[in-house]
Amino acid sequence: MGVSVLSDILVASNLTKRYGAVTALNGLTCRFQRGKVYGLLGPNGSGKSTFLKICAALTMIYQGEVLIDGARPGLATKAKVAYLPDADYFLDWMRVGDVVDFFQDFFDDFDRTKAEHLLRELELEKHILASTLSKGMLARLKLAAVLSRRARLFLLDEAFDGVDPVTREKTIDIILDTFDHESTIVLATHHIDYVDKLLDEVKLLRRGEVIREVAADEVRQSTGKSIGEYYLEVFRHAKTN
Amino acid sequence: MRYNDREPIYMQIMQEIKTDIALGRLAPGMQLPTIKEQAAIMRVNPNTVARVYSLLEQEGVITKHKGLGTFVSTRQTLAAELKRELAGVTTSRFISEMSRLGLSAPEIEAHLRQFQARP
Repeated sequence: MGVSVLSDILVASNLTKRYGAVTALNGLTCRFQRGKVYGLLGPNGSGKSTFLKICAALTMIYQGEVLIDGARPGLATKAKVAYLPDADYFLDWMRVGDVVDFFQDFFDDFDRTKAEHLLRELELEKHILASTLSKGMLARLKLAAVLSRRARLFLLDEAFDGVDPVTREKTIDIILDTFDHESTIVLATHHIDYVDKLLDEVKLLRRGEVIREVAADEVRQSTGKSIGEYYLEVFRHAKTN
Repeated sequence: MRYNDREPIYMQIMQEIKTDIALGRLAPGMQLPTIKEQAAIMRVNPNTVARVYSLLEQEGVITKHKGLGTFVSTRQTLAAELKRELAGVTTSRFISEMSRLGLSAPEIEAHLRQFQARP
């Protein structure tokens, strides 16, 4: 088991998760430092979402260890972790305003002023039923709710899925505005080209394991490639092995 | 700002700021945006901007004044120095492209003259 360094907010050691015969995580080991933006990249089924769910304390049964600020995921860590799930999770009766109220009730670190600002910025009107929002507007609502928290660790699972170019740009601006040297942002995504200017570090996942860990600048400097090209090269090569 | 995929982002931003100074768009002594503002303007990670500022400070292009902010160096020769540096970078890039085509120094020179002679 790895020794936790003071600057690490999240440490995963030998993490294994099986769903029946399917191995979602296969001894995943990695660490995340404070004050950095990470890209968690990998094809479908590589374990990104499973890993984030475990970190968000939504999946409690697994082997190995995850430590967030030194504690296992649970009630105590939920207060530090803001998680944006891939799935939609608002209840049918909820209006945009209810979602914000719900988050405020639930999380002590919820910043109401920021939430109001983000709703305006993202053109979300409070009286609209969440269930009637388009895919893009729903993505905006999830983002506004989650990024209105003053959390230490933001885990964003496919924040860019089903999002139009304008929303994408706004999302990037909001992520940049939320980030500071005490927080850590983990972006799990297929949309590598959207995020590559935001990333400090890249972790590539394949079949439930971290197969590459590299600084984003390092990719360009040593290979002369974008992160997207680097990704394709690594996975093309991995397939032939 | 548009970024290319070949060079690290921090290097591209450094070049951009140096170009702005060389062309007088950023004057000596002018205040630069804070790291957070600059990151928002350029849509990049603030750590990248922090790296840019600290490298530019090491090179004497900008200076940080505690509590006041970050400023373009007041050295009057700065714009000329940076223009020379950037021209050097562009020239060496040009030379290496031409060398890749198998051209010798006199041939490259001939191309330059020919280009200049064009109406």
